[in-house]
Amino acid sequence: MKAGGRTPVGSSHHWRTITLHSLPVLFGAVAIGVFAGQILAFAKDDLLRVPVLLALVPAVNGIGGNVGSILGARVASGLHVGGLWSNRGRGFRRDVTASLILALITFSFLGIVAGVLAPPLGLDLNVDIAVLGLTTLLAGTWLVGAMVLLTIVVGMLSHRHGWDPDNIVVPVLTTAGDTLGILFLLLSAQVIGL
Amino acid sequence: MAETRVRDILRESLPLLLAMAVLEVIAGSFLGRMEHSLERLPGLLAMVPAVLAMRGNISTAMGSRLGTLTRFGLVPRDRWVTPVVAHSLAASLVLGVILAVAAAALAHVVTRAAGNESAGIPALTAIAVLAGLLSGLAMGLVAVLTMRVAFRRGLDLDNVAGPVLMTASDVFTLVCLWAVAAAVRGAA
Repeated sequence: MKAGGRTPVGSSHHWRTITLHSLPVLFGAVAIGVFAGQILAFAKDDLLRVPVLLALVPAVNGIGGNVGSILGARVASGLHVGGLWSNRGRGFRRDVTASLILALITFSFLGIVAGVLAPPLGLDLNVDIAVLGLTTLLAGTWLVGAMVLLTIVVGMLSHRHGWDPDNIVVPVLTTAGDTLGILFLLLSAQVIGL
Repeated sequence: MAETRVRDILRESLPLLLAMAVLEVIAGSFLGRMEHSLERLPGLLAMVPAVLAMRGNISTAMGSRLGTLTRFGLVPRDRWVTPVVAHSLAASLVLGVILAVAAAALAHVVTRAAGNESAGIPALTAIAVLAGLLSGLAMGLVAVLTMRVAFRRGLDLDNVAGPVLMTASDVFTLVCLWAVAAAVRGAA
């Protein structure tokens, strides 16, 4: 494989090109992350009092982002074929129903898993597991509701302005998953009285 | 082609999301155990989502690049690290350092502007850069491993890399943050 070792690296694969081209979007992600961090800092005392809630933060973000990108990718493909409400909105209704069911199951599972795993993972479990599951379920339901609304808004805007939905819908939804996830988790903990 | 049904979407996505939930709770437990560091180093909590977002975005972008390289036959079957792969890894590390500095500075400025105390730019930068570099090295290994496994099993890297790398990135980044913050707290 001597020749392979000498293969010149094309300019588009060069580390400098990759770095420069990636910086703007990543700076944006960091800025939004710092904003989300302020929400956490605001609720710091509550989070330190209930460590398992703190442990749920990356999970809610990760899962929210994933459900968002599944919904976004499906809706973007649908938009390519003819808009949200084509075929009397059947495709869109199906995607919304699927992401709602995904969220209901995954988020209630998440709270329960966190409660079950907290003691072996060395976390002080000072809340009821069922209450924890209810908290993540409520947060997840709000999150998917907000994402559906965002998808409708962004989908209609892309349609009107001729933007490529693949480039807009998924980043908007994953970013929303990151910030709104934290916000809704804390709100839901407040409402349930954790 | 039959129309996709709700049930099909659930069958394909649910197992992955449930597995992700378990791994993310394990990742999050390291944040839950950072209590002492978070109390002693104000501003650290405000920086955590930015560091996670940065490492997750860099790692999934790297996975997506490796997927494209594999698809176009630019990664031979019998070699792990070729020049294009090495450049992709190098970019991921350089980006990690630049963005870690940005995350620390921004977290400090915004925390102070919100009227809260901050551990200061040097401490926050040391934590973000060290944790970013260590998790970047780990994620480079994970990305190349994922590429090899997908290759051998004949899986489409584009379908598995995203969730796998995102979750692995949260686990490694939080473990590194936990360890580095404890070390910085001890040194301070």
